[in-house]
Amino acid sequence: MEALDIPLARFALLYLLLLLPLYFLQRLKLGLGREVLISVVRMSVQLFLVGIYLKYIFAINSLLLNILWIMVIMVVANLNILKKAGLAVKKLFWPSLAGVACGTLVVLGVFLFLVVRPTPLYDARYMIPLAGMLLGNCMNGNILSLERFYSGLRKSESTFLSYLLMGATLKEAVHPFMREAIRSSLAPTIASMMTIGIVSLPGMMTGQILGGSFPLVAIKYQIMIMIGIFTSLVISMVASLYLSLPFAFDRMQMLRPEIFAGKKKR
Amino acid sequence: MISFDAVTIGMQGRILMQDVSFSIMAGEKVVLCGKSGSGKTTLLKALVGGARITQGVIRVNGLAVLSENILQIRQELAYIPQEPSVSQETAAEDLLLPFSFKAHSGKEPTTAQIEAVLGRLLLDPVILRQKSATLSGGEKQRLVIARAILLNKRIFLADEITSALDAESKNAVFTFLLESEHTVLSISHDLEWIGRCNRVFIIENGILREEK
Repeated sequence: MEALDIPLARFALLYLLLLLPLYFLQRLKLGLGREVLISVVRMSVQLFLVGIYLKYIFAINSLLLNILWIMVIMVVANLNILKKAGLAVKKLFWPSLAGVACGTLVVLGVFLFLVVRPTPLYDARYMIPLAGMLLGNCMNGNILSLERFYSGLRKSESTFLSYLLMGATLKEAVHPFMREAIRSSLAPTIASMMTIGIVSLPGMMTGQILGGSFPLVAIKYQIMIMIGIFTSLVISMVASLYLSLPFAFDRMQMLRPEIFAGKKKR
Repeated sequence: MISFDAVTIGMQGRILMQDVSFSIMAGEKVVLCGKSGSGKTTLLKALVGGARITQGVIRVNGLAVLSENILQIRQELAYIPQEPSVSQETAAEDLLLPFSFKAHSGKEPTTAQIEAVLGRLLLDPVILRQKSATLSGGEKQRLVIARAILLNKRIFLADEITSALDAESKNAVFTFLLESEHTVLSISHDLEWIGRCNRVFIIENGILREEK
């Protein structure tokens, strides 16, 4: 069973559909038109390029190439995390990358070596999309947790200082801020696990069903992905936060102002 | 006890305080006055390692404020902010928070010690069962002071502490701070408090001078 291909002429209709939201945004004078157009063009070009690239990467199916690709997307995700969290790439590149790598690779390893076991184990058809799915979610979670943690510390400097004066170690003093950042960053993922299947059919499952898989197989993959996303998210958040501490605080245990990017981009 | 010796404080390449020199003896009650943004809070922060000293040296009990001494120095100091932040838990949990840290674990005060300290600050022990967030500004501040006393702190850094207090709380806080043996370095605009302190320093354009 194959998914129905969409002829190009009908595919172009999709872009006309965008006129509706653009009209409403224009009427509400939100000034988002340019941004929406740029993001749609970028999304289309990026997906087409990745489609072409994946065609070759699947055909070549080399371990080295797969690893290289995963490294590239990890670096891109990491740069995006720091930029969106308003943090200086120069100061926190390595700890944040290490955190993202921990979360993604541990779960990817479990998927490939223990659960799915494709042949070969590094089969690009499994390794690449699974890594991408995990990374995409880690990226969004880490943007939230790093942003909330460090902006919370900056905003409540006197509370943080009072913990240090009460005899807290650096880890004890940052703990309440870390707890709050992780709690609020995990909330959307927990909420989506609560309603998945009732309110929404997730993208991957829908894609698989449209692609011709049996719903039960698609569901198994979806459950695997949801558990994987949650696990990699928690590991990468906790690892990024802890690993960044030695880079973010000076010898007096005070937050270094230079870890924040000059101009905050949201 | 506390000495500033030709101290210049900078932050991100900008000089905030220049060539500040003064010393405070144990038990003195000192107030810093000046317009907002004049550097008063920076000066308090520098004492606990929260601002970069670019020149000169600050000493607390003879120890220079350097990374190797900072933990020992922080043991002596308590910071009482204008609006103490409290948790969503009960006042008792907030009061005993430091005893959950490794540094003080196993040294929890007895009920009798807690009640004696609360009594000195005219606080009813009943408040310990209330949620901290429901306490008045004055009660929160006295709770923070009680915590500092239980930790055996000798030096209090008080930042605009009287601005949010009702008359009764203000009186309790004033009486305690002025009559105790603690050293108090405060920031205030409150004329009554300024009048009752031993020494008054004025900060203007990053320069500090003592009012005689």
